Parts: sequence; structure tokens; C-alpha cells
Amino acid sequence: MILECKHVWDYISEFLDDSLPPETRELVQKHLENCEICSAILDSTRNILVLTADDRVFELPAGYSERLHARLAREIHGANSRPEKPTQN
Amino acid sequence: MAMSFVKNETEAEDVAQEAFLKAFRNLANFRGESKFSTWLISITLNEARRRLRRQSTVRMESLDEPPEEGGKISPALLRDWREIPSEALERKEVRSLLQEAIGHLSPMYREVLVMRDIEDLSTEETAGTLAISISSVKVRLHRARIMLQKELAPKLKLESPKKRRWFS
Repeated sequence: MILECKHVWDYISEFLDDSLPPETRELVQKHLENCEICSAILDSTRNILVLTADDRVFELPAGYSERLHARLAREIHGANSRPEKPTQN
Repeated sequence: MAMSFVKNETEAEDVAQEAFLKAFRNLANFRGESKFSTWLISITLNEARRRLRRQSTVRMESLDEPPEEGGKISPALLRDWREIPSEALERKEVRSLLQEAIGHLSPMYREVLVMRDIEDLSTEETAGTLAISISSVKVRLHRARIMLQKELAPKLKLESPKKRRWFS
């Protein structure tokens, strides 16, 4: 059986996850060895996913941890139920 | 995770803080049936969804949004691909391209992609958290990945290193 490009595209995600049945994986692998377009699609998808997963894409804002700890501390000490009012002179 | 769901940093921080507080208040309900991180992710997801629902009156869904798990998604066709090194992420334009592309995915695809490819949850954990079948996770993930490739490959190709500046 020979796979056409459009069929290979359907398998890209599972190929990357290594979750295809062995016989399907072998057919896809053979196609990839001879098809520069499908190889480029696979390589670009893999590369894009690696970049997407990088912590730098969604970096935590500066001071995030401090603000979170401060809010958790307020919660722990029950300050949330007694919001501070500005002092009036 | 919150940053990939809501549009601005301040709101994402609110979502994350609220999720932590809810987790703290409900700590007694955590029974260890899932990993703590998965539990926290599901609380964050619910908080992000709640915010997005509240904004849905002003938020317009994309007109060319693909139908639920139906139809074909084709990748961007390329003849060659020059690897984009992770050093490229030092550039704000590249980070913005990735953030925008994830933001362009409709929620059903974004949720699965974020859980599987960013938060590194398993297919089973993702299915459990989203209360969908394993095959739906696989289909949505496939479509999300191909949609990302379709949007990003042509743009990132233009960002690929020609001047060796990332290798110096």
C-alpha cells in the first residue's frame, strides 16, 4: 500500500507522538523518506511545537511570585474577609 | 497556562491567582485521584473559561473557524524547512507570533494543545480534565497542531536565520 501526501498529513500528530500502529508508522516513514514536502511539514510542525512549549513564550510577569505569595498570605490570615479601609483624618 | 487563554497579562495573572486561591480553599477536597498539577490545571481552566464566558458578549468568534472536529485541515506546504533554533525566542517578534497563533485557535483546540503540548499532560489526563473522549483529544490535538503549522510555518520561515546572528 502506498500513502498519498494528504493521507500522511492525517498521521502527522500521531507520528510525532509515536502512537501510530507499527505498520502505519512504517508506511508513513517510507513516504517521508521520499517526499520533501511531507518531510518539511513534519519537521516544521515538530519545530513549532518545541518552540511553543518553551517557557519563554508565556513568561511570568515580573513580580508575579511575590504578588501571589502576598495574596495567599492574606488568604491564610483571613484578611480577605476584612478589607482595609483607608484611614480618614 | 492562564496567559495562553486570556488576552492580557494582568487578567492572566488574576486568573492564575484566583485559581491558586480556589485550590487553597478546596485543598481538603483534593483526594489524590489525579496529580496535584493536573488538579490545579483543571481549576485554572475553569477560571479562564469563566472569564471568557463573561467576556463572550464582546468577543467575536472567527468567521472562518473550522467546524467541530469535522472537515479537513491542510498544513502549509513547504519544500524545505530550516530549523528555527530556540534562541529565536529571545526575539520578541518570534514570541509574539507564537502567542498570537495560539490565541487564534478556538478554545476547544487551544485547551487541548495547551494541556498536551505546553503543560505536558497525557492524552488520558487531558481527556479526564476536559471530560471528553480520548479520540476527541487526539483529533483536536491533531487539528490544533496542523492549524499552528499552517499559520506559523510561512511566518517563521521568514524569521529563519539567514545572517547567522543566532549562532554567533
